[in-house]
Amino acid sequence: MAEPTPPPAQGQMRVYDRMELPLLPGAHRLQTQVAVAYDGGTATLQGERYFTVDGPRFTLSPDEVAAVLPPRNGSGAFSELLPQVVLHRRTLPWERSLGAPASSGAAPAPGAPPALAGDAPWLTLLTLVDGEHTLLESIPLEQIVPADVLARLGQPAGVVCDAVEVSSDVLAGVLPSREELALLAHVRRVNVLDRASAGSDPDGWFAVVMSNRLPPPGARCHCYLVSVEQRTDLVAAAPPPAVEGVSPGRPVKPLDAVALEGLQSMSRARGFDVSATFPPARRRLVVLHHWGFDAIASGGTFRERMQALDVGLFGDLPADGGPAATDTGHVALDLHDRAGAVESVWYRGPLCAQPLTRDTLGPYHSADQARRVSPETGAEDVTYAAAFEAGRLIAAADGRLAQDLARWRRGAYDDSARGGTLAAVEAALPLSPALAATLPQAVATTIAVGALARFAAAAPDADASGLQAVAAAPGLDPQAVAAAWRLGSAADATAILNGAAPGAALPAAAVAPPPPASAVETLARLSAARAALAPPVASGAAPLSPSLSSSGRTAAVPRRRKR
Amino acid sequence: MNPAWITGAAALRERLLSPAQAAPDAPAGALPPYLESFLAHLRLLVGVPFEYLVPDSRLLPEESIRFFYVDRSFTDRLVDGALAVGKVGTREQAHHQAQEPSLRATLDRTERVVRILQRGAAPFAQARQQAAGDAAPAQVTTGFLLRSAAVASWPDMEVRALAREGSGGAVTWQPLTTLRLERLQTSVLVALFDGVPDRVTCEEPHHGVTFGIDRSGANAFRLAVRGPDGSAVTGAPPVAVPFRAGGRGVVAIAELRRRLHAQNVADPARVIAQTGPGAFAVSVLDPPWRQRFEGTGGHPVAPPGGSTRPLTVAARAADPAVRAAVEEVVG
Repeated sequence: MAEPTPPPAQGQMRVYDRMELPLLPGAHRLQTQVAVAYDGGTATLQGERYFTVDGPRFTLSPDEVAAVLPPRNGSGAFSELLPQVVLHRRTLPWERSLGAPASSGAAPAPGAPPALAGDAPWLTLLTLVDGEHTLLESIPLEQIVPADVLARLGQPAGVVCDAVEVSSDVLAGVLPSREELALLAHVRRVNVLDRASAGSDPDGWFAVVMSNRLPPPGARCHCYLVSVEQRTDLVAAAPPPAVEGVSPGRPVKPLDAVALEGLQSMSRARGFDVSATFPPARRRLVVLHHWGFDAIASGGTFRERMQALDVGLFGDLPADGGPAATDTGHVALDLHDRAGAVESVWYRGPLCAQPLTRDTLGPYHSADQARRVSPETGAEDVTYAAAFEAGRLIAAADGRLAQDLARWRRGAYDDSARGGTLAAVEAALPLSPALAATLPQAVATTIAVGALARFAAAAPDADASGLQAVAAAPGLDPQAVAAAWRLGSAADATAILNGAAPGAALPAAAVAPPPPASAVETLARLSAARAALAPPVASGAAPLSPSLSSSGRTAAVPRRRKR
Repeated sequence: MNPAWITGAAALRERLLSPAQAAPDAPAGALPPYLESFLAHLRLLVGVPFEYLVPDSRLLPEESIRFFYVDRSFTDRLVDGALAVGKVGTREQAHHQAQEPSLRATLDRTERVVRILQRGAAPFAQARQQAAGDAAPAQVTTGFLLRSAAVASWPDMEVRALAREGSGGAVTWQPLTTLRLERLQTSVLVALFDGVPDRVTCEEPHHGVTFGIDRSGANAFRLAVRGPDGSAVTGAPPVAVPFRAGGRGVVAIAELRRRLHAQNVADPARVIAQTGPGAFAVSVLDPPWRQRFEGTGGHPVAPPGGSTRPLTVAARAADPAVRAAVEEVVG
């Protein structure tokens, strides 16, 4: 999805009305129709696929909840703020709906604010005090919602979820109306660069659902994120009338319970039981998330907690004493030395109240190297020795690190050996300056190219086999040819070599290999010349003589003896 | 016979000089990425046991914040210790000794991107590219430890460090790089900054900003009127918050919106228009509380050039021989 705008600057936040998914959760049908025209006719190809878009409906994973306010199980002066739940999934409140529009559709009355667009969201946050609610865990959906709502939900079967049970008059008093449902949910986009929780929600988008009730001071409160999907039986179109200056609620017993108690005591006095005839109407709602907190008279908010902090530099000690410490931040600790004796030593962590200069004596190779004695006290300062050991133990606990460390060292030794080799090569091998520059990068290539250049440059002795030179050279050293082929004299060799003048140099660029045929011809010619000039050696050491070769073969056939 | 289109020697030369083959590969002795990343994390005390940071719990009481400078010698020793793993002989020692200056310079750069790595915002190679341009040696690193129930309740609080620039009327506040911001325990937050801040702010997380109202009487509440950017409109009378009947403290949200709309009608230029849930949220949200820490006092900083305090041998040296020896050394 393309980002329409960059994230807000650090310290800023953007607020949006609502955020809708292009494709809502539920079962969808995809129909495709392609009209094909071809020579002599037309045809229509049709296809149909069904697919389901899934989303949280009757349960919500705790991972989806980014934050709850007031804090879970918190205790503080929360009676001047409205509880809220922050969701990672920014579209969640609008993925399903109440089943009714947020505004009635009629033109707003004069003086009334503009009407709200879209359906009312399906999530709302109820704040209830102890005594007003009962949490029912893992009960079938059929026991939570009435039959007509279940039908409108699509008759989901086998759903088990949590529910909250509230008496009908309490619920009517706290449940937002349609318009209020919409007003109590919005989307925020914040900048996440300044936060500690790394990687939990890198995009900074959140959906927020607020409650409409101030937690009464001195009460144990509970917040329920409930689903009102299709609950038009409970959510009123218009809110009850407002009044001025009503005191925020105190922990009160629900009216029906009080009434029931009174009725029961009256009825018991007259000898009959009315509890069966006076059932308080209870309503149930699907619960997606819930938490509790204590609202107390004062303290406990972010502002109060931060302002009450004891501010100081590290090493400041509490007024009522503290560890034995010096003004430099060193703390006296007991240490068992190598002999097992207890020794009092100084230690200071990496955090200190003054800026310190960096030790330039490093690196240290053992912890003992970093031990110091404080001249003022005569006691040992084990700070840096402890740091060394801490680093060593942390690193030793990491298997991959040990491997990398070994690889790093081995690589460095290899590099070093290679450097030495290169220096030796450079000293021994006269390379052109251009090639010498590339030597460290590509040793094999450079040496090969250098050799090739030398080979091309002249010397026939660079051709180990001699074949190429023999074939291509206009002239060779007849002595060498005579020695190689056991010719009788250099003159014979000269004759075989077609009388070319010995020692004629190769042209510098002529490195073209000879055609194979000419080499064979030369060999055959040399063999023939040798056969003509020198008598064959008695042993079978002259493989190139055809006659010997054939006689040898004859002699090699074993003769079979008769017995 | 047709001449060959390429001679064997030319082909060999071509092959041996092909860029793929002749390209200089990384030297085998370069710092492996995992090792570099590990040591950079160690430089920022990641993974160092809490007891090493705070040797006595009384140094960090409950509900306190303690500012500090990071002792670079300590972090250098941590790295030395880590490199001592598998150091069995003089060959490894010589290797460490030779590599130390370049290793220190590399880690001075890499430690600036540890936060990017911790956030998972970029892979190591990419993050390291960012650090490569900034070759300056490490500055003074400072930070704070915050131990408070606020850390547990507001784990996503936003922390910023600022340095003052200029003086008199032309003061500007420059943000410092946050090197590390992490919860060490449920209620302990550590922050490290690159440089010495003049002001540190801890702000309520923005996604957790709540609806907030002021108590104007025992049973009455009111709400300040806000502009389109969320700032309070000066001079506008606050709006009385209506409640539903029944005494449960349920705010009449729709009626409140109607009243806020009336404010907008009266002063459309300054007061936010009630266009929808977003506008409603802006007008009822409490601005996040931003706690500033500035000029905390504390210990006087030693003048540059070191302390000039004369050394004296304390009577606490228990062993007379040690004491005599130290006295002799110190003179």
